[in-house]
Amino acid sequence: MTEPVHTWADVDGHLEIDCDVCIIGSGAGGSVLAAGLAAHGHDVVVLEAGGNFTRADFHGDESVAYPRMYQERGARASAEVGITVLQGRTVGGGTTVNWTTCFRTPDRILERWAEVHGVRGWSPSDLAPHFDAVEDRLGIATWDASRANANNKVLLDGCEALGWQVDPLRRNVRGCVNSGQCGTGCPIDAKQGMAITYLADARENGARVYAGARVDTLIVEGDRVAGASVTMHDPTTDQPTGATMTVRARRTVSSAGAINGPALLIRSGLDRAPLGRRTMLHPVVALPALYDRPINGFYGAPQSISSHEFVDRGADRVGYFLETPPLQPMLAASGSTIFGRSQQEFMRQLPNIGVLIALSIDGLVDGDEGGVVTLRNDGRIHLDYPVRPALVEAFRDAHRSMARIALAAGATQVQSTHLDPVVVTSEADIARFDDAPFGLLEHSIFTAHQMGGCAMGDDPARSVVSSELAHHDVDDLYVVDGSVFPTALGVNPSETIYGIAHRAVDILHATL
Amino acid sequence: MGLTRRQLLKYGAGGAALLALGGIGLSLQRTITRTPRAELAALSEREFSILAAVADRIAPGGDGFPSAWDAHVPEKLDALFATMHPGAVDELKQALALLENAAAGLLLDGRTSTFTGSSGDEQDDILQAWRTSNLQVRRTAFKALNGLIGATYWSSSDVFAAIGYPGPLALNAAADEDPT
Repeated sequence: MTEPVHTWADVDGHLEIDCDVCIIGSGAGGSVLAAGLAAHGHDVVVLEAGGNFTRADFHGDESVAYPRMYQERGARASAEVGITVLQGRTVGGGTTVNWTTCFRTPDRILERWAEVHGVRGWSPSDLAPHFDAVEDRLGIATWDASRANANNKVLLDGCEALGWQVDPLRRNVRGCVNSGQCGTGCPIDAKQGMAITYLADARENGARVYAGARVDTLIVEGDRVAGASVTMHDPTTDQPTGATMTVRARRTVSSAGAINGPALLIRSGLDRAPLGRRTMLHPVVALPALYDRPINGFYGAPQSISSHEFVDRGADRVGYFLETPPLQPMLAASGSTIFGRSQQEFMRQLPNIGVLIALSIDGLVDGDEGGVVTLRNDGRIHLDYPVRPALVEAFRDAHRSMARIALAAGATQVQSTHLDPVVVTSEADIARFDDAPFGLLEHSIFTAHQMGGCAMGDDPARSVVSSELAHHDVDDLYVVDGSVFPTALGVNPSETIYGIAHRAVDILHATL
Repeated sequence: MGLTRRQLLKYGAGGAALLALGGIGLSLQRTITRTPRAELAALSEREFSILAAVADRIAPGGDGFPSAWDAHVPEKLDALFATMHPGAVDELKQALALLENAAAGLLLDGRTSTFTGSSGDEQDDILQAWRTSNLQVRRTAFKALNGLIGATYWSSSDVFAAIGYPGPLALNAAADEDPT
């Protein structure tokens, strides 16, 4: 029997539930795991802090979508607000609002996890059958370059003109009509996000899903975790309703994602080094440019082309990969640091603006420890992410590369997001980036990929969970999400999380 | 001020103390108030008025653009603040108080008037000084306020015409059109 998604309105007073497996989070990790375990006949409960928003709620209205479906009402940021954190918080997690880009984990990353981070059993061949399965279920396939929007064609044409590696990328869509609204929820369910795929599969097999169910703490009893304590929230206001739940389970799984997952373990008294450390963000710098032709980057698949020309720049330099963002007005404006009439005049040119983004691959260079998640005294999450010299160098080099691509694709003017924007109209101007300041609060920095903080590995001094994803210190607690990555990936992370969760089904099933 | 980047970050740790300056003597100063067009849920009328003044410099309007006030940005932000963590809202309120406070402005900048009592050009100069300040707490406060005001303003359908954005496609019912 298919279970409905239970919401805050379905829970009055206090509800006690027993189950085999309690999964905290309904995103890329939790949903795939829930589907697999429910198919094995296990009694699964999924707790999702965000609301149960579906296609009927998705109108492409940024003013509604970001406060509803992103962390901290869309305002999550690093401690000094230097890095804007785009992170989903809704049924389906980030997969409901992500930009659908799918890559398998690069072999070089999995090999590094084994060689440097003591991770066993996650080789490319171990993961391959799991990637095959999720690609089939989610319709992951190459998006034909002929359907790329003009913003992505800039990346394609510019890289080809420069002789740089560039390819169409793969997306988890079926029947996509290029609305461009991936980031605010797909209005036609073309995106094969978790809510309409694996989470629906789990519900068909009896899994109970609760939306608006925020886990305050894990229930720690002696040396084991016995479930979760929940307060219900109205997701449109994010205020507690007064209702509570206690979920008791044979196994408890944190699939709350990077940042929130480590914070949950800290709240639960399970703080132990290196929890929260080595939080990776794929820090993003963006470079807008003007074209004398329409770009209309607010329509069309946000990402359909990527370049990995600069992912490996040597052992001592931070690599980066190149993609594009959607350009609806709010997101486009959020990348600029100017204000007042000058911003109005900039935004007036929106249909002719293209934007390239460079995502830096953190955690691979010696001394690059990423960021640290802790809790403030008032319970809020504190994300400290220093921009170290190696990252500054990568930001600078990425600006040069993006400017060259834009110029090669016919940009009439490139204008950086610096407080004092760097303007480039020819190759000779690119040297202007040499003296520009790079770092926190000097220009816009984003992250849409939160990883690490709960690393897996066999050495308890350097990891939080084992290679089998079991917590090193307490029994019956597992972590299945992007927080277990020991490093960033160099590709968009959703498919890696799907693959890890798909294999985690076997791991958890064997213990039940 | 010649602070190095490292010093700037170090002083950032004292940001809470600096923000607290915003409260000193503010009760003795007069804020030029505006009347909210909706019942306030998170801000006092004074805080609302400072926010409205800031918003109208972030998005002044003209040449086909609505002002932030025209787009009801201050009321929309008040409603958003009512759904945010109280700790985050307290920091924003402190930032508004520090911005408004002429005593703190005198101490830090030699400014003698409140923000709401300053002319539009003076307000722009104050915001510009915060935006590029060597005190990290000011850059942070500017970025937070600018980000929230900008997000509210630019996500308003009132601005779509001026920027040539036809708006999101209405696809929930049926969809067979590729806009690209």
